[in-house]
Amino acid sequence: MINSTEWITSCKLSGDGYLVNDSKHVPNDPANRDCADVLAWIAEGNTPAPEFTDAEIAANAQSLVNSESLEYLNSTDWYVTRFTESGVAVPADVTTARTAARLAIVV
Amino acid sequence: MTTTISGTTGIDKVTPELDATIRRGRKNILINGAMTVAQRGTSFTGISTATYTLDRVQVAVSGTFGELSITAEKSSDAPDGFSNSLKLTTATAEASLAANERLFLGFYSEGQDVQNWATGTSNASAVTMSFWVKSSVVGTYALYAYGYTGNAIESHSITVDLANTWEKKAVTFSANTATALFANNATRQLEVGLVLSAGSDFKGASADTWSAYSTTNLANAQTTDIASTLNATFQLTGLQLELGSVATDFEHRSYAEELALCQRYYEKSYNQIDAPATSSAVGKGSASSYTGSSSNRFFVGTSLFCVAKRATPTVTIYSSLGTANRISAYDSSATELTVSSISEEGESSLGMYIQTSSGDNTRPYTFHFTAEAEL
Repeated sequence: MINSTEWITSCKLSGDGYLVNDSKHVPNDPANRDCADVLAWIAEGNTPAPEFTDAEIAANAQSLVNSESLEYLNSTDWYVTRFTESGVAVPADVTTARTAARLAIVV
Repeated sequence: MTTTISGTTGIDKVTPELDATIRRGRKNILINGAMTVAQRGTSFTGISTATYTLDRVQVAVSGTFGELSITAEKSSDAPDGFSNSLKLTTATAEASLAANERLFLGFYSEGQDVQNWATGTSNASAVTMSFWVKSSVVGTYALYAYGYTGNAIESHSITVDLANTWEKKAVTFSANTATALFANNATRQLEVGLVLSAGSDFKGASADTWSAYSTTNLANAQTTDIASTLNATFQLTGLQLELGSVATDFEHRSYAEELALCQRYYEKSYNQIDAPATSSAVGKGSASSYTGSSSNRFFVGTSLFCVAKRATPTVTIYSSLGTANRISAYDSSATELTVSSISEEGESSLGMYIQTSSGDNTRPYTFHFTAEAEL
C-alpha cells in the first residue's frame, strides 16, 4: 500500500490521536489508514504541533463568551430602542445583564 | 466448489458452466458494485489525489500529476438491469503522462473476507471479475489483482471495443496454489486495480500468471490513457468478483444490505441524501456539558454507529451549519464551539469525549459526524 501524505496540511496532537487539517480526528491506530499516513508523514521528518494548550482553550472559551454575550445584547436591543422612541425605561435587571454582557466581551 | 457425482449413469464432472449455476447466493466479494450507495456525495470535482468517491470506490493515483483534474459522479446512465454507474470525466487533462504517473480505480478487501480463495493451498480457486464499462476511449486497459502479504500480482488486459457503448467484460485470475496471498485479518490484503492511465514505469514485464509484485508488471498491457485525454469519459457498474472461472449473473443486493456493508467502512449522521458538511439539523448527535469537570473543558457525547467499523475510525465533527470541527448550541445554531480532541472512541461507538472550550455548562450542544475506516 502506498501511504499518501500529500493530503496532510496540518497535524496537531489531540488526546490519544491527531487532529489533521483542523478537521479530521485520527485515532492512534495503525489499522486506520489515515493514522498510517500520519505516521508516514512523521517518518518524513515532520512533527505534529502540540496539543491545544490551556491558553488556546481559554481563547476558544472567550470566543464562545463573546458570541453568547453578543447574542444576549442583540436579543435585548429592543428594550433600548423602545426607550429611545417612547421613553419606556429599560428594566433594571436587563440593564444590569447588558452591562455584564458588554464587560464580558474581550476582543 | 466442484460437485462430482459418481456412477455409471450419473454426472462424472460438473462443468464450469453448471458449477456457476449451482453457485448462487452470496458470491460477490466486492461491495457497492452497482454503484448505488453514495454517502460522501454524488458529485466530486477537482480530483487529482487518491479520493474515495461512491462508497468503496477509490479514484487512485500514484505519482504527482501536474495538471490532472478528474470529475466523478453517480450517474443514472447504466446498462439494463442497473440504475447507476460511476462516471469519470477528465476535466483537465495531464499535459504529458510522466513515467511514474498512474491513474486507476481501486477496490480493496479485507484479508478475512478473501480467505475462501484458499491461496497457497492445493484447493486454491480461480477468481473472476466481471463488470460493465462504457468509455469514450477505446483500446486496452489493464486489470490486476494484488495480494499484499504474498506480494504477488496477476494482471490482464481488457479491451473496450466501441466508444460510448456499454460492454460487459470479464477477467479470470488463476488459482494461486503456490503463495498464500492474504493474511487473515481486517487490513487491506486484496487490491483490485482497473488502470486508466499508466506511465512507462508500470509497463515492461508481463504478469498474466501470479508473479512477484513489481511496479513494472502492474499494467503491462495498458495502451489507453484517460488522464491525458481532455473530456474523456469512463463509466463503470455491475462489478462482481467471485470464485470460479465463469462470470455469473450479477448478485443484486437490496439498498439496505449494500448500505450496511458500506457502513463498515464509512458512516455519517446525515440523511443519505445530504452530503457531509451541508447545513442540516436532521439526525444530529448530542453533547451535554460535563459538570463534574472543574476546568469547564469537557463535554460528553455519545453516538452509536449503525455498523461496527473495521478499525477505529477517523471522525470529523460538523456543526449544524456544516462547519468542520465545530459543534452547535442546540438552541442557537450560530453559537458554535471548537472541538479540540476526541477520545474513548471505538469501532462501535463515537463514545465521544470532546475536550473543548466553554464556561457554559448548562447548554446542550449538537453535532453531525462522519466516521471513516476505509482500507
